[in-house]
Amino acid sequence: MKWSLLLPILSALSLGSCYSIRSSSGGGQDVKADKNRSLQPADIKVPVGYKIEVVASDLTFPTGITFDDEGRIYVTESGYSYGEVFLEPKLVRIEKDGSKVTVVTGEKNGPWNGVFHHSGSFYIAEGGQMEGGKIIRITTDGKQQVLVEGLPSLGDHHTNGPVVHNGYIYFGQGVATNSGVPGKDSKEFGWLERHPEFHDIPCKDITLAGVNFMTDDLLGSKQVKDTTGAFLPYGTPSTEGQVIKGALPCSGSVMRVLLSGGPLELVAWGFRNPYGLAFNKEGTLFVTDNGYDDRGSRPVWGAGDLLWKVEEGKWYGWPDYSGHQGIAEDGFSVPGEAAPKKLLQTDPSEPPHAAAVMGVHSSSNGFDISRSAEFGFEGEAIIAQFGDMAPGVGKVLSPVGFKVVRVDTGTGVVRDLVVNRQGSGPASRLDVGGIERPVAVRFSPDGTALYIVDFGIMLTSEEGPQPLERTGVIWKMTKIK
Amino acid sequence: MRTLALIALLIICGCSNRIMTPAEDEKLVLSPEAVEGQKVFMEYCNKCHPGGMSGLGPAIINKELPGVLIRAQVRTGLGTMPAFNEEQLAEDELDAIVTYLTSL
Repeated sequence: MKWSLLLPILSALSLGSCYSIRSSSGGGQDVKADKNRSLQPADIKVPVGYKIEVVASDLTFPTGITFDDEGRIYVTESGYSYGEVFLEPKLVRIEKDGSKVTVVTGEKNGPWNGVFHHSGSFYIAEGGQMEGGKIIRITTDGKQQVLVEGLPSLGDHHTNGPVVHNGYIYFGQGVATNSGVPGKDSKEFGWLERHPEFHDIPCKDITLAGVNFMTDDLLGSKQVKDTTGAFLPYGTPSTEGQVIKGALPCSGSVMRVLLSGGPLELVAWGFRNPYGLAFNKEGTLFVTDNGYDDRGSRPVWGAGDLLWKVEEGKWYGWPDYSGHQGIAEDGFSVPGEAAPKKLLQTDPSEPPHAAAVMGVHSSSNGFDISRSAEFGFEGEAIIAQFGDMAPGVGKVLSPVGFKVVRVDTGTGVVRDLVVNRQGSGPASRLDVGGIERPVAVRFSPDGTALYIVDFGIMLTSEEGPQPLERTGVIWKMTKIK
Repeated sequence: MRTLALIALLIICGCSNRIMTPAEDEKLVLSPEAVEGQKVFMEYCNKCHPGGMSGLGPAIINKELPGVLIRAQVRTGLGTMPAFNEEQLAEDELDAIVTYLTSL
């Protein structure tokens, strides 16, 4: 065999052996960092003709940003982080000199996952880890009014958004579990012991295939093994043909409620964690949807984060699809293990193709759509990628995410927009002064500036996430005039 | 012994964890077929090789594999990489991906 052919073959073979040989190398792993972030905009790569600068720092778990009618900046500090850190969530105004004024302090029922200003009021998605999710209106005098409550947010994922459009408040509701079944990972997240009865709730009636999963006794039931089915509490098995009734509110959905008050309405369902929501100029709703993890009783491997174009009434595939691809097929099985089994006996409908597919474990979260020819990239979705939480979500060979990308919603092409110059990974891992974990973006009211909410440092290990308080930053990107 | 050392070196290089800078996307000019290949790449390959870089899977833009090997690896899979049959990825789509990757 000629060397000219042998070397590429050996290269290909070496590629194939990578995943099995190497240990996980996520962005938050094996990093030594403390709260004293060095902030150096020069360490961040943005497109030619643009610049980036620090607006505010020293924030604790910031997640969302909005602007009042005078153009003043408001940021939500979430009050909760994975790693079971519970603080009081806050709405904070950032003054022109970067100083911070607390406008409102909430109850310890975070995370406050996002904020949207509309006609003099702030609308907040209260994630609801302790008491269930809520949508809250805060008026300029600081008064809080609960518009929606009791959302199923006691598990892995929370109430997200919101965004106001055409007289409605739209928000996302994440699912309770990774892929339909409570298990060991639910206990590791912290919620299984708090709420052993909690489970996923479908939005419409579904029929189960009767697939069950066994775990060691996780709650002291004195059984040697516990058996759990999908859409059921831990330790409750399912049967083939069992119907689980749909309900509102429900898990894995986009819902809405009238600004003037009224019943909850279902917009679409079958998402996993619809985190970011934004409408384009034409009034089309897009959402980012975090993909499955390699964890728990029904691990799923190789599922990317998705950007969806949302059509009312449609089903988007969870827990049996990733995009339009069934996860019970090749490509989604954990290496060395059998493919996940289908949980639903019948699909509610055929899931559509996603508008874009982003990196597995990238945590593609809050986003906005460029509406300004002056800023550029008009019509593209600008998406904050919080970055992987390996090894807890599964192994990665290199950090995934930790940047802001731009996505052509027509072609699905994803390109870097804001990324650390030194390469893949957060600033703490690269030992630079750039971005850490961007979690949301929002354009200024005139569309000429992109504000990036940087959650701050979150280290990760086999013991779980370790977020660091007071490491959050707000960045601003503009075109150089 | 030399062959084993070479194989070991290739495995190490293939699995290298060196930090890579993002592709100079702004300067990239693609042919029409490569543009189509980019779209298909984004749908099926980007999730494991984000932007052609390492993520869940290894980086692929730093390795000059000939088109025939790219095709073979996509069709048959390799290690943890799944295979994509013609039903999942049509021949013309695979051709376009190869054109795209060899343009980078």
